[in-house]
Amino acid sequence: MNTTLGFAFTVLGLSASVLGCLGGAYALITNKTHLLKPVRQWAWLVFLAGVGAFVVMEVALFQRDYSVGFVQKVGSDATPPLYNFAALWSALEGSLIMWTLMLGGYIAAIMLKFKERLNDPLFGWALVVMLAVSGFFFALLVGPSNPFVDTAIPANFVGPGPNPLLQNHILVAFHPPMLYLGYVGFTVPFAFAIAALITGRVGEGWLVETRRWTVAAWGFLTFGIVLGAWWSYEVLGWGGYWAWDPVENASLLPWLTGTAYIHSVMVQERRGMLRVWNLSLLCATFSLTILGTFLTRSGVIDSVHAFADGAIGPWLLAFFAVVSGTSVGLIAWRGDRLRSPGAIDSPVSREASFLANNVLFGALAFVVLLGTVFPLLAESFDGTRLTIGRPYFDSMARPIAFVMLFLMASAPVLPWRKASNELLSERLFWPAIAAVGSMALAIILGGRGFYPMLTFGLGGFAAGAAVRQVVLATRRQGWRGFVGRTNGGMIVHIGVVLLAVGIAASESYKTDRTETLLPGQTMTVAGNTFTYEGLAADETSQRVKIFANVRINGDEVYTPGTSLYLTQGMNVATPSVKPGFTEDLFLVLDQVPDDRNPEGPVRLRVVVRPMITWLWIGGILMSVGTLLALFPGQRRRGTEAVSAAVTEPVPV
Amino acid sequence: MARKIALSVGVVLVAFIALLAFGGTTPDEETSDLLGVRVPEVKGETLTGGSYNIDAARGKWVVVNFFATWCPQCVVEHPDLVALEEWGAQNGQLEVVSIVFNDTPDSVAEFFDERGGTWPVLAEPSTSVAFQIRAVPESFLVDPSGVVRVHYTGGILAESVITVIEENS
Amino acid sequence: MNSMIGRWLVIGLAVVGLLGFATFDSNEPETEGERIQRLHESFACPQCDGQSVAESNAAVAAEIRNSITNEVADGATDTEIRDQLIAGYGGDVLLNPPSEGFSALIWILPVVVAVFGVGGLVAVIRRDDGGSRTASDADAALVAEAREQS
Repeated sequence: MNTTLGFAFTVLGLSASVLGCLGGAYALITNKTHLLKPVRQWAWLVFLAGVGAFVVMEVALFQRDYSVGFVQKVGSDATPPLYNFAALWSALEGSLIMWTLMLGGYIAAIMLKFKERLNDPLFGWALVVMLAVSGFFFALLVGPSNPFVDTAIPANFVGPGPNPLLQNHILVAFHPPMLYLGYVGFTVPFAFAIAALITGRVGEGWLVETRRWTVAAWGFLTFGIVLGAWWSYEVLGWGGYWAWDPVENASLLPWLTGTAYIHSVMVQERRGMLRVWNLSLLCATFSLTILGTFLTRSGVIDSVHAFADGAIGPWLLAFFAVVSGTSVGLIAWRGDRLRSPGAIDSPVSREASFLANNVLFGALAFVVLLGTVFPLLAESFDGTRLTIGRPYFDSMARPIAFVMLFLMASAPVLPWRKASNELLSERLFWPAIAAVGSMALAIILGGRGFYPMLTFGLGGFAAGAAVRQVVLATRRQGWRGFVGRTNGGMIVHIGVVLLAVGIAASESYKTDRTETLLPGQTMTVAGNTFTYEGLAADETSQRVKIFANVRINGDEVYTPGTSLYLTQGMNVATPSVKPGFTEDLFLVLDQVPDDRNPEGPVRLRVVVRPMITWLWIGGILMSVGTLLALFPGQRRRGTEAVSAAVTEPVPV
Repeated sequence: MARKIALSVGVVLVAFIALLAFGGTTPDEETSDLLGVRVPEVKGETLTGGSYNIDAARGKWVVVNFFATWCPQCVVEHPDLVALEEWGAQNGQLEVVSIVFNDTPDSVAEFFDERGGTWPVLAEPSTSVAFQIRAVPESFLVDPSGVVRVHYTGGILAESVITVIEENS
Repeated sequence: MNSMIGRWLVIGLAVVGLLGFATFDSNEPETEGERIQRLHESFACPQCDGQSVAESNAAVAAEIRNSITNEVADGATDTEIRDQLIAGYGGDVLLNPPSEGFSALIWILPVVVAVFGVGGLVAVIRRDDGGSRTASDADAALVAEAREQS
């Protein structure tokens, strides 16, 4: 029953997407506006199909309907409701269902938002592009990774349940949906970019229309990535939060180009420049979400947390080729019309800073992409097997990040067009005092070392500039000084500074120690004592957790251990973290404890990371800032568009 | 200008897609590149206090076994190793040596008390590195001239070792 | 004007002084524990796709940690330890790719891109559009339209 219904929804989604896409393209090419109406009906059906497939799969998961292939793969009698709900996105096929659900949602949302201009060709083409994308994802569900396969149920089957790592922390319920809302959300600006290229209306209009959508997608992606890092820290038990793993890099790449875009788009809005560049950034962002999905889902690159499935690899690669090829072709075709009319007056200006920002984000994206695919390149070239790991990425990202922090301080105080030395001196004074102050404070608190101190100094500088802007705005406008793109953006910047400080302090001043302890023995790490008080076990129908009772500083007991998930027979480490605003104490057992020998030793690993909590606070603040940026802000006085116009009349 | 840039971006893109389509990292090797070469150094102090050097066993076959007490398959294969030790003691053709993989001497002593076996056991992590051990159990069969002949992963069977020795002598 | 320069001179000196102090005050010789930790962080666990042996929970990572610790205790140099691990597990135990042969490209390409990026940036900033410094009506209309819709 569920298999039939679910499959019917995916087929409906595929047919509605294809019919809507082809019908829409035909209507727009032949200029038959009345034929656009059925396209919108098809689009609503796509939304319905996405919701339908999702609901059917959740129902099947809760009914433990093992005749559904996907439920047999990830469902289990023993999984608690929350993780059972989240099991939908614990494997490839289900995550594709989530993708189509969200894409359908975005399609419905833009139809509501633009309901007055449904016959506008620009909107029409955007809808056609979105339907083409949804058609592709529904095709994956109907074809190579069908989750609704009717499967015979083995006798006494109780189901394996999701991967144990995906069922022992609440963040699993939030991290993937947030990330996907971000990935999928970039389809909207991408669709409008392609539509603008096709219709030739490459002026500023479509940019403004989709600005909030882009910012919202960016905010989801940001929050999703930070939650992912947090989850990795709390669950994976390796003592860190970001490993430069291909899956992580795949989420970072569109974030980097998207961040570049939301900055450089302001130059286009204010000065009419950078049209080709902005279109390219949007196309690159969307292409990179597809490329990232390919890299991590095709098994072409090994990764710790990829769910590789060779079957959809060629499909995703072909789709990436189509998306990126179409983008490049259209930009080349419209290249003349996109010619930038303006010029930059001075290197010391807001627009020049935005350009520098873009070079930095572009360079960082290049390095991350290069490091991710280079092992592939090297092995194809001469069979060399090599690993590109943290030291490479760290050494590349570090200098770029420092210049970014510097720009975060200088750019917000710079005016458009041109700045005088007096103006700069006046506006940068307090930020500079903040920089000196935060370095002095860090030294008093015991901070040493060149890199962390540089981070604190530049962080203070950037935070000073951001606070200055918000203070001035609130003085002028009251509470409205917190909302709007500029002010919200400054809150995001403060979040970035907290994040940078959290990273610098928790990496530079971390202490990592492993010792073998007998019951009653104590180890001391960075001034904290850890007393091993013996083994204990905790059993549920799902798992057996064997853990060590460790008393920290003679006070509370924490319980790092390992959990044996019974249905999979898989042992996973379950770390225990004592969080704090000044430092986190991270405990994990280095070896599976021998529960037959409770008097025996355990190997306890303790990682002390100062200020890591500020990383999560910074991430949350970035999301809050994004939310504030979405509210309409104060209208700005326009900057005159100093440029030679694109005088050619616009057809269509 | 924009066209020229787009064209070059297009060329890079095609090359990149071709790389992704036809390239691909191979999974970690299943076979060992030690096969057919001289055995790496295996020597050091045994857990019972004696000293061991594999070169002293030249002229005999040697099973070099890597194991840990926490590994279930190691428990499963242990009787086969005991059988091989007995077989070798009877006809003088074979010796067994084990190298502990990430484990404590106490548990190893207890493991042998419980499950039998009196062959030398070394705790030399550098030996595991030299033999490229990724996960235990792994064993290597070294021939009388000191050349590695067979690589066993996931457990060893006494019968198949004896077959190899009998075929080659 | 002079007071402005003086003010920034003081700030600049303070920054250099604080950075210098923070850098040189911490220049204690590396302890053996720190050296072991640094070595652990520079090798990849052969089983776990790019995680370092310091981070990984895999048994093979623990064994490599044990091996490094033993070798350090026996007085081996960093190069000896590195060579020993490469001899065993192959070149891909290095987390930082070597800078010779084909893999040198991974260090060269970013530099090339950086040069192009900065060059492009300078070119764009210095580009002169032929002296047109007043907005045409069409431009003004574009900006006005954009603002209206926001």
